[in-house]
Parts: sequence; C-alpha cells; structure tokens
Amino acid sequence: MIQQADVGIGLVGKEGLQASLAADFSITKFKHLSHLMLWLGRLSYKNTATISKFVIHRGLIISFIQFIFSIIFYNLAVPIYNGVLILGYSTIYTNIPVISLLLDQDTGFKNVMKFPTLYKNLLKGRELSIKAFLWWFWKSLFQASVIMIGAVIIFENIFLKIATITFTVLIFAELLNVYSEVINTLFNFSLIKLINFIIFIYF
Amino acid sequence: MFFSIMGTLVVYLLSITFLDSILDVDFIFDYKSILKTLFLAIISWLPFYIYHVFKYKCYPEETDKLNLIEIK
Repeated sequence: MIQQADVGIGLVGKEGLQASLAADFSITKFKHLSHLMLWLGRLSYKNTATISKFVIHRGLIISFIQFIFSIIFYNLAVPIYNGVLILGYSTIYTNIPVISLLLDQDTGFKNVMKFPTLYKNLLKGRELSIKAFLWWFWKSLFQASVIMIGAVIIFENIFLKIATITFTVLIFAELLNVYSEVINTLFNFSLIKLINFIIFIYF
Repeated sequence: MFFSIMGTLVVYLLSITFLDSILDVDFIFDYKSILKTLFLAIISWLPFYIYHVFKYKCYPEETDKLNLIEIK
C-alpha cells in the first residue's frame, strides 16, 4: 500500500522498520505527520512551484529577446549574446536570488497548524496550472519586448552596444522580478528603504 | 533575499570588468546609461508589480489575510 501511494509515509514502530524503510518519508511519531504535511510539504510545494515558474521565465525571456532582435535587425541570424554571457546568465547572475525563493514563507508556522484548510487549496493545483504558465509566458514576452524595443528607442547607435544594454537591463529586471515575488523578505526589506538608503549615501 | 540580490549585482559588476572584450564596460558605468538602463528595467517590471500590489490589496489570498490579522 505504501508503495502504491504517490508519496508513502512510514512510521517507525515497535513491530519493526519494514514500513518506514519502504516509505518515501519516515517519521518516528504519529504527531509529526501534521508538521510534515502542513508545514514542510506545503512550503516545499509552493516554493518549488515558484522556482519552476522563474526558471521557465528565465529561459523564455532570453529566447524572446533573441527573436525580437532578429526581427528588428532585418532577420539577422546572429546570436545576440555569446556563450559566456548565456552561461553567466543561467548560473552566477540569476541563480542565487532564485534559490533564495526557497527560504520564502507565505505565512507563519502557527497559522498553518491552526488552519489546516490552507493545505486544501494546494490540491486544486493552481500554483502550476496552464493559466499560471500562460501568465508567465506573457510576462516574458512583455518584458523582452520592452527591453528590446525600449533600448532601440532610448539609446543612440544601438547596434554596437545592443548586447551590453539589453543584458544589463535583463539582469536588473530579473532581480526586480524576484523582489516582487518574495512574500516574506528578510529583515523586512522594502524598495522604499533601499531608495532612501541610496539617497542617504549619495548626498 | 536582500543579500542574494545585492550579491548578484556585485558579482555582475565585478565580472563585467573581466568581460571587456564582450561588453562595453565604460558604457555600463556611464551615469547616463545607468539611468537609462534602470529606467528600462523598471518600465518592464513595474506593470507586473502594480498588478501584484493591486491583487494583494483587493483580492488577498487567505494567507495574506491571516498575516494581516497577525500583524494587527
């Protein structure tokens, strides 16, 4: 039965370890089940869903930028970013903020344990639905269009510096996206406080 | 989150100094281009942030409501 289930949870009992060894998760006391499901399981699902959406967005936006670049510059079949930039974009420039989403908590431990019905909403699968995917698809398309078309409008002699401009904007936009998706920010950090801090340092 | 974002910015700004054959480093550090770059980044991000705030204020999720009660 434990192996037929999507996720098997085994209890270490006096009868032996058979059930717990066959399970995906093993707990020592039955009271730990609520903590495992309502707190750890719930957070794991929500944060994994958010990270998946970010990874999809990260890949789509760079594809759309390449697509729009080719359209704007007379169907030029040249990659806008070279291999080093693409490698940097998918590793050191965007990985750490996206991974920091793992530490995010949408509500406190007490609330989750007090209102187990919060878990029920996850069963609807809205976090990773077709609608959610289309929303992030649209977000990628919009941001890529603004970055490329905006760069062409705002900057002069764009062609020679297109990679520099759009890549820098892309990094900033990705960091801002992470900022707006994180619910429980560390040290109660807000954009206004950052702006105040920059103004304070500058003057 | 704050440290990861700031860390990434520092890593980016440090690494582009080594990528001067690929990126125009002097151009990136020019204050006019910094302002224009930030403007573009904010324009591409702001509509979604406004939507996010609007949704939070007008149609909050159950967890948001609980968080508000906890703060009060």
